[in-house]
Amino acid sequence: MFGYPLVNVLGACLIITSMMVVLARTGRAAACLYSLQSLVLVGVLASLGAVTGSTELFTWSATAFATKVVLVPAILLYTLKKIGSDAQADLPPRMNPMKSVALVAVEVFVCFVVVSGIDLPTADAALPTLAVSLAHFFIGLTCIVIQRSIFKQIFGYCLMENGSHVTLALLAPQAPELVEIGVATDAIFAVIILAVLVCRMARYTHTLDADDLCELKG
Amino acid sequence: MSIVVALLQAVLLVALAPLVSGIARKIRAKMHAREGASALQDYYDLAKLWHRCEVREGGSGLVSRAMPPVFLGCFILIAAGLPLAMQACPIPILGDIITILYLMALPRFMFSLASIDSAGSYTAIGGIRELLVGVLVEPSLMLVLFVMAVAVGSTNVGIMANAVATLQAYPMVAVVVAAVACAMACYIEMGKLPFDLAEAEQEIQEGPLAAYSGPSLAMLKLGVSLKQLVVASLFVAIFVPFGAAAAAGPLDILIGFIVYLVKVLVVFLLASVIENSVMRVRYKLLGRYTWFVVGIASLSLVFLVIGI
Amino acid sequence: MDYSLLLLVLLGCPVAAALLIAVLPAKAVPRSAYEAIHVVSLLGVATCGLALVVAAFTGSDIFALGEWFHLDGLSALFLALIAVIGPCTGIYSLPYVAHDVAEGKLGPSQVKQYYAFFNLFIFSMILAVTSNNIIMMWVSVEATTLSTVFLVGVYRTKLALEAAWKYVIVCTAGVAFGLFGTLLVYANAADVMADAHQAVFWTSILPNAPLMDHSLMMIAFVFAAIGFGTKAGLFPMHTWLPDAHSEAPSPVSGLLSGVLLKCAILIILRFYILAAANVGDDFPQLIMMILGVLSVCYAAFEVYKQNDLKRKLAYSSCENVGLIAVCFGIGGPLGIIAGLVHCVAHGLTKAFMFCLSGNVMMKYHTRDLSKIKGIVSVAPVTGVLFILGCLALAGFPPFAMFVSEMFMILAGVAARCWWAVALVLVALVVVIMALVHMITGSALGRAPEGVKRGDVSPLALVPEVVLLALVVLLGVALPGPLAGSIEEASAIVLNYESENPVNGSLFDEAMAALAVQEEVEEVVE
Repeated sequence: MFGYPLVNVLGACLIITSMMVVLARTGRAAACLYSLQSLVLVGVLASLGAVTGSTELFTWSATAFATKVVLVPAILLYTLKKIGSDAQADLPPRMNPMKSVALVAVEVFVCFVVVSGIDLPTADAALPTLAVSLAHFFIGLTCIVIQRSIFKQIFGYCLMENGSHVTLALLAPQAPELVEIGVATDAIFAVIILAVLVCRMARYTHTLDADDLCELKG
Repeated sequence: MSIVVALLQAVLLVALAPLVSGIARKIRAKMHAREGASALQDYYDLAKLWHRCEVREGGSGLVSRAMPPVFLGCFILIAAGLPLAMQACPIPILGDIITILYLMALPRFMFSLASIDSAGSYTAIGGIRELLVGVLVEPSLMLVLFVMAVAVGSTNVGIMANAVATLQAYPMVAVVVAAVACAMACYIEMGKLPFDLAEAEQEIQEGPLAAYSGPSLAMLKLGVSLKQLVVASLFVAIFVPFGAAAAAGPLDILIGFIVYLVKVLVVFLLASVIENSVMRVRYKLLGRYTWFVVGIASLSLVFLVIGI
Repeated sequence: MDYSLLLLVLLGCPVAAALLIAVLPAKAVPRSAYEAIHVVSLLGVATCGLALVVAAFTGSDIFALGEWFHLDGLSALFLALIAVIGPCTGIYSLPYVAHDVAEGKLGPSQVKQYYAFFNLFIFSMILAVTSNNIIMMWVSVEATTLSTVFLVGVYRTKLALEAAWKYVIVCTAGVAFGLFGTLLVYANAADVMADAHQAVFWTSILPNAPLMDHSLMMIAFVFAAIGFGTKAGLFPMHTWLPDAHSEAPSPVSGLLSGVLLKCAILIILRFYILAAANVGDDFPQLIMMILGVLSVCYAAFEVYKQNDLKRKLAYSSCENVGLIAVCFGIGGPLGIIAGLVHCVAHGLTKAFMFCLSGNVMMKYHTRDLSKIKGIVSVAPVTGVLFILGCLALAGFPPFAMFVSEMFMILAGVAARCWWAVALVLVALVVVIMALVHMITGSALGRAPEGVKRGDVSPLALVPEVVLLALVVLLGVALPGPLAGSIEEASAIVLNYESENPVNGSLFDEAMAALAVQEEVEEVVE
């Protein structure tokens, strides 16, 4: 059960939790579900570290726990508090969220087909998880495109980053720690900047509706 | 030996169906903080109806006359074939998923046909809604059963039950997601709130059931209760087969029956709690929920293809 | 002289300035303090940068911090761009920000934010250009996005914030895609090379490139082209460009259009070199050609359509980046030389134009071209510079872009890419129409009533004159050292050291190729 099958099972749980983040109705629920998803991600990193015997991945899973499971949801919940009880953070998405489940399934399948063409020994046994991590990029993109509230679009970005981090762990388990720390801190700074931008948007324009932000066109 | 088990299963389920729906009614009454009718009320109703004479509508023909027996008969056949007490089908040919799907589609077809055969407008609306539910839910159910068939390597429900019980169904996460999708699809098929569109007491006066009386109505009521029980049993048989008899000894089969009864009662308990906490979904919005179930079913298919 | 140390000083200068500005309180400190720190940091960048560039051209490659930073002829060319345009736009920021403060559009905390992020932006660009670690290259491109978000959205208006949001979402999404390409290259290299830890350095991957898996390299290059192409402004990932470049303050627009897009092109070039060494020239050239031609055609018509001055210039940037991609798509020595010269020429010209647009906005307080008329009569020096700038952007001689566009057409003819040349020529004609229309409509004509006569302060004109002088110098007589440096950069792109020994001038070889083509045609006729 341990070894690569565990990695693959955790990869499937990653898809399920990401879907829950995309479908979450309120911003608060989305933040908590994102924390859960990051916990599964930490599990993936830790199990990959155990399988490949790379200590860098263990340290990275520890830092990922601190940053993704604790810090990022805390930042987002704080932002939600600063925006105030403005209900615009909880606007319903453009596409019926129920249909987005089918879309997610299609994306995972397409990514698997793409990934099957890749021939790398570092990723052979964990090919399903590589497909899942590539699919996360598109799931994040789907979340950004269908969400009307720009606060929830931040979660789409976070999902994309999670996907690229899992890809990094799968394809480059021996990468020096500095690289992984660089990538992780970049993700944190991006979330902070997005959150500050959302706060400014709420304060100066009083709208978080992406449909309202279409004045620059053509 | 297996024929005996099959007959026993069929008789047991037919006998149990009114009791189970009675228990569901009792739970609803308790949740509404009232006393409610006795759990055995359905038996008294069926007995009373059987002695009444039958009144038919002027324009109704052979289809209306044939529908209740066909409805009841199909579900009895399915009940005989499911691997309830044993982890294998008593009658293998009845346990094939294609047979089961067709045996579930036939009563639905007859139901809708008979509803149009009658002259009442509410009956026709009920029949069309029944078709709507069928169109929206059957794909997910088919997808789930297909995923299980590929995962296990056979279309026989008994072999599926055996594989799940011995934890040999591979890939695992696909099976788990398929189980979730099947639970949702079966709940919709059972026709309990919020999805009881065909009968819809408050809206369309019991729909097609209003055209029947006497023994035909008794058979139809029994058939509807039996359908709920059979659909729940389908889910329990495939995805929760733990405790059913692996060998064919009489004691194992007895234990298998008892465990099955417990499992079904638990499922109905959960279903009753859900049923009494929600209101009926508007038929226009039914598509939203079924899209969700289709999505989860297709996710399980994708997991199967990927190999997780 | 220890050039590695100088490289570290070059990196440290703007970072230290940014931190210092960030630490000082906004309200208590006068604006001149920020300006002083800013100017000192820019001077440091200019001197260290140019010294390093000269050293890289005349001497050998410079490494710093082990192999983490690397300056060869190619990156030295782009570092020179940063070292020249950065200080020019930085100096131009001083009167521009002063004007905005006087108008009330910027408060003291926003001024502090502006200068801090400006220096951080320059730091991140230097990091992107000199980085040798391919994953740090990606991190630095992300850092450029993150450091410019608050520059784009520094005015707290709805349009500015909307532009900043679109910018950050589209660019981080695109660049995340580029990360996948980077990781595929890294995994491929780690698989092939003996020491996996070395697989993260571009200089170590390049000699091993022919050994790597072909299909993987093709997928990685496509991902990298799309991902970093988003940052460069190639169609169809360019949607953030017009909004971000028009809503940002003008000096920042100049830096974004002039330099940042070229840094993204450099990263694409690095992957292009790896891919060309692995699967040969054809596939990478095809990708660049497709993206380039689409960008040029789409952007040219958009340039014509726009009524907003800065959006027009932003779409022109899109079009020129497309032209650079077309040059690299044509390939061969002439194509690569054309692409690199166009990078430098367009960078200087666009920064010049954006600074001028800042002047125009300072006088007219609007970006709407239908309201901007008669610049020559209102602000004579600005007006004349504006006319010269439009002509420079349109590709007229004696300006630099004429040289690069000529090279591009010659390269296209030599490589017999007729359809590409034809499409590009049509697009260039449309752009010339648009820019001449801008000259007649805006620069000439009668000035509207409410505009005050009199030019902007001299400090707002000096950087433009410097940039214009460089543009003319590049167009009239490519100075010897610059020609040699472009040749060296092209040799790196074409990976000549490994294939042919260095034999004479690349220019001569390119011209010889053209001459052979003509001889063949004569013989055929």
